[in-house]
Amino acid sequence: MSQQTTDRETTTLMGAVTAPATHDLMNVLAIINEHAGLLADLLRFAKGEPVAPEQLEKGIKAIEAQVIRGRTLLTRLNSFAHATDLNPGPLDAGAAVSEMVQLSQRKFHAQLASPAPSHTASCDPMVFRLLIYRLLDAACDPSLAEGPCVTMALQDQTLLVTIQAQAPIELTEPLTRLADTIGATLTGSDNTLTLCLPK
Amino acid sequence: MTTRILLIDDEIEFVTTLAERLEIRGFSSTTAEDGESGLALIRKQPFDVVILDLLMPGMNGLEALKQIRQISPNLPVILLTGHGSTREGMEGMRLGAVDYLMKPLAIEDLMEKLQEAVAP
Repeated sequence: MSQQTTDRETTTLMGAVTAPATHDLMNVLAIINEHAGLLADLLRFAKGEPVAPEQLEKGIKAIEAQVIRGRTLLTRLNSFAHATDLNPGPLDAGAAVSEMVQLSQRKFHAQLASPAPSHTASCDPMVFRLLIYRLLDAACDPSLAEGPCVTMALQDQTLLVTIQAQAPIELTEPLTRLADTIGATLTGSDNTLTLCLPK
Repeated sequence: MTTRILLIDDEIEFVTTLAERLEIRGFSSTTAEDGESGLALIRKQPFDVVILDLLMPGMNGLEALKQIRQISPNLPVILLTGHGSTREGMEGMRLGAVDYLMKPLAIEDLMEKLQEAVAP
């Protein structure tokens, strides 16, 4: 894959990841806005009656929960935005897989089945993320409510990322080539893709 | 007569809180968390106006809008969009929505759009 093609594809990835994430942030603000508005309504329409403490507590808790949701999302987005600060590597590959699964949640509905192990690799951090995004895309069937399941494990200083889909996954040549460019290998059978990334 | 509103949005916390605010203002609100269940409600009971989110998993808002137009051609639909641009809202109006609003909402803007939508 030429450098120009890779650059174009990673630029496309920036848009593909940030668009749904910013949409989610709009939803976070919209929920905070509605809860704050509801509290204001309760005071405004109370007509001298005190507002029930449970009602106030419910609104405050909902706002706090959305602040946590927004902060988590922004932390992931910030990590994604800084992905190219150190290129090439070292890349915390386990954390990068988690980040991509979570940032693309709205699109692929993928689930992490295990915590991310710490695995440092020397490869282009954005191409690695592009590969994970592509693998999730290949494993996602939009007609199904449930998305792919992602498992990570360490074996002999190699990170194994297994993506299990609900339907057969096609291991295409562009995916294999993309894995090659970062020194990873990709194997697949039926509903499963496995990515091996050495140290 | 009380205006019957159907709110369709996959953000449950958003839609139930907005429904509560509309109830305070004298509207009757029903909520649905996806396009399919919203369409099922429209087939089953009468509504005066629909508030429909554009970006939802499964059936998206524009697809739901097309189907609403087939089931109930005169039912006014106001779109909600979390996109930063107006492009999606304009596309929705081309497909028959009466208007669109961007999230987060100003309740006064929504009240104005609702009044316009149900005006005889």
